Amino acid sequence: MTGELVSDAFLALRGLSKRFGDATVLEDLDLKLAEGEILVLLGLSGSGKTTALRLVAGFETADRGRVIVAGEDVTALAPARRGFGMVFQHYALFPHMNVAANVAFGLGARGWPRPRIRARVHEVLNLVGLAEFGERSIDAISGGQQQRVALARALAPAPRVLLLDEPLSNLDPALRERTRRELRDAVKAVGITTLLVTHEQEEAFDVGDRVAVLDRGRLAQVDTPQALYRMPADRFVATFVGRSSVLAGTLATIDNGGARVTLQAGASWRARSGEPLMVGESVELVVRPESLALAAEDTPERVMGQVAALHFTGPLTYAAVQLANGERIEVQVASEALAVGQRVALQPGARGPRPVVFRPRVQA
Amino acid sequence: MSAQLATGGGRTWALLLALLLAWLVGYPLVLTATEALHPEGDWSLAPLGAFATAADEWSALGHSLLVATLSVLLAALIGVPLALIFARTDFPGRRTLGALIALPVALPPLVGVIAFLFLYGESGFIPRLLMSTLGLEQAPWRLDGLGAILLVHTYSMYVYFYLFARAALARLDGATLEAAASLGASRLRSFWRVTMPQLYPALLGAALLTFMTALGSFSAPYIFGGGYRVMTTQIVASKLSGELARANLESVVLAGLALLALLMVHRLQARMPEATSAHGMAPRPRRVARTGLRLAFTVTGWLLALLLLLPHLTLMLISLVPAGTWTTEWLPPQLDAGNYQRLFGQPERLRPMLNSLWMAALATTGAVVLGLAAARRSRAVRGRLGAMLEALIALPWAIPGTVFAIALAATFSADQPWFGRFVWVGTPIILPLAYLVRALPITGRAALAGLRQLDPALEEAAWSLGAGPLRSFLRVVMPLLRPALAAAVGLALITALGDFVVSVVLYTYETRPISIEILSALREPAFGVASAYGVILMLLSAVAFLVWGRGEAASGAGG
Repeated sequence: MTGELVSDAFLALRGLSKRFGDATVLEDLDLKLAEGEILVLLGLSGSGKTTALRLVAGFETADRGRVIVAGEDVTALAPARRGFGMVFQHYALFPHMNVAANVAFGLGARGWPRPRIRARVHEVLNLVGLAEFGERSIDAISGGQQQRVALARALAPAPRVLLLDEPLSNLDPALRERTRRELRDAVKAVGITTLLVTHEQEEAFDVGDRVAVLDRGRLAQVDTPQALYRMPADRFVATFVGRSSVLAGTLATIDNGGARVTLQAGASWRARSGEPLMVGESVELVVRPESLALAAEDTPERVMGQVAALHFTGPLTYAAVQLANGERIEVQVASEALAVGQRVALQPGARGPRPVVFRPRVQA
Repeated sequence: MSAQLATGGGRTWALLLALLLAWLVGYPLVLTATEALHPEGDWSLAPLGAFATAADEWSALGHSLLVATLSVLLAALIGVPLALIFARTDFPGRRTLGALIALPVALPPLVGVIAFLFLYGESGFIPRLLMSTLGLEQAPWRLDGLGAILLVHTYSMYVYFYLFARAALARLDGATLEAAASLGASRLRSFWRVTMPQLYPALLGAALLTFMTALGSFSAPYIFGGGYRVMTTQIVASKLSGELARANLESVVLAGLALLALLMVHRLQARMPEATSAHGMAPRPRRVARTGLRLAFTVTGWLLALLLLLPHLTLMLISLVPAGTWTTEWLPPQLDAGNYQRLFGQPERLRPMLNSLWMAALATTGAVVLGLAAARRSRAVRGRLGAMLEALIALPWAIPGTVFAIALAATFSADQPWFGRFVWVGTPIILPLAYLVRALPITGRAALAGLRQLDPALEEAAWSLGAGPLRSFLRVVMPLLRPALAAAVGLALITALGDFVVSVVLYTYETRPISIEILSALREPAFGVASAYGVILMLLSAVAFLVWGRGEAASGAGG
């Protein structure tokens, strides 16, 4: 598919592997970023995404693998000599320096003359909308402003690559959504190749050109947000990215791309096969809430259940439906359509991605 | 770069540092223990047997334990209520008094002792006052033995309890008290059931510090003890009478006792819940509303301030009394600056001051460099090597000064370069070296605490911005460590400037420090000169305390 958007990579991670003691944190990570691309590393805590970022930054040494920038192998270079900018999770602003001195730090380290430093500091503070804040001390500005100072500081020396470690996790939710748009705009305005780490799927989709999903140290899938959502490569990606429900069943038939699953809950549904499967195998069906619709009770494809709870989120309402066999399924409905306790019939709808079928996941 | 530092080069440096520290800190102690247990070149338990059957050794051991235990109780009895009053009530003069109250910590032990001698001793200021007002023939009391030692200890060591309890009270979450009140607990009940249990870890820490300081205390028992021998004075007596094997063995026993106490307290601490990482705010001090009560608080407060300042004032007064002019009057009839002129005019009197200054400065500088380096390495390599570095930094804190002095004397009086032994006793090297070892826990632990609070991402941020290791260290790490290190520098300087316990074992005539000169002035007797030295030491310490050590003096070790 579109996993290989990139023909000539600006930043390439080749077979990066890292163990801490007995634990393999990262295994054979291969990623390529085009110049100016924003790639988001998405994963749960412990998935290895932060380790991957720190390997690229040079704060950790890889056991195996290489980091290549514009054809130059930087794997053995000290962090100070890689020419990468980094925004840290808690920003790591120097508390004993004011905003301008923080931003100027990397320029001083490169031996820039003072007038040039001053001009550049003004330029990047302007970029993040903090031109008037240079003389402020770090603890005299808000969390959102600190985040922008951290970005300005990282961008000031015009690095080759920008690394962002959960840059929005310290902001309150109301601010986060706006800030991530501003972050994307600022990064795109500079046109810098960017690797961002986050555990928030919404943030990943909103900021990233492409998203790489990490699962327990391995790359599960890398693709555009749309492709990840509609065509997850495995069961982990299917359930980790976006809202979904999982139904148990048996694979009844299979032909090229399409499959039919006999659900434990009673019906037989058509689905897309997520991986090579055999007829008669026990499988799991992953269904998005918007892919389901209310049905008439006599529809052959319907499953029966009872509304257990309604989650009103504003624009959308989700109903949690308890099926007769004990499974729960989530369906997107019009808010006034249902009441708790009501009996409903559900079937695959015309909208939304097709349900995908996978082999049941073996717990590690 | 943390990765690179933690592997290759970093480990080598850490190993070298650990070896250096082991040689300075651990080796002398091991050597002393070895020599104590085979004095004639073969292992034998005979020395231990001789120790165990000697009545005077048992009595000194018992005295040491008694002094240390009673010092803890008395210091707690004064320090904890004071802390509670200052944390919870507001009355006129609270701020001024709060600043004065830690004063005794900045007074070098020997100076405090002679101040008490001139103030409460038989021919001291207070007995004279009482004699002349009450028409007594004799001084109303004798300042010696256990009582005198405990008086001095209580004066200087209540500060530990006060500071520790104040800090713990400031961390206390006021919401826990409000919760207790909402559940119907009376103020008394919430004090005993909610406030006090949250103070226990801090009080245990203060008790340990007081116990160790009192156990290793030398100045007070030396001046006031008379026939009341404790282990420290016993060790020095053995050493001065040339019984080195005996001094070594006594040192081993005292060190063992100190380590045992440390171990027991650590056991207790392990069983206590961690102090709450309070999110709430400490309750604000309540203004004392009743006029009468407020007056009582204020008067008591100022009386206390006077009591705290009296030793200092006495020293200043006596330093202005010309020799031989004060006989029977309760106030000295004549005052001038003659003693100070002699101090600065006579090269032989000036010498000890210069000695103390350069030795203290050198030792403190060395202790900062070594302590900081060891703390950095231990943070970088972690694991066993890191733990070893931390233990070596902290070890001198647990060992009484007298013991370290004996150990260094034993180690550095032999010419065996291949065994790391050199003849440094009797040379100008030995005293600064001893001061350095004694200052190492102060600087090293401050550096460790500072580094623990430092977000490692700050240094990584500096690297990611292109700063090399040196630039990151100087521009980012050092400025942030400065407050923690400055306090340690002040305390290390005070300790070294005023040191008596180590100096009395290791000094040479050429390198005699102020404390030794105070002692010889006392014997001349030239009380005015001794006091003048005391005042100067006091001022130097006050400067060090004000410039560097403000408010963080609570982790020091006395002597």
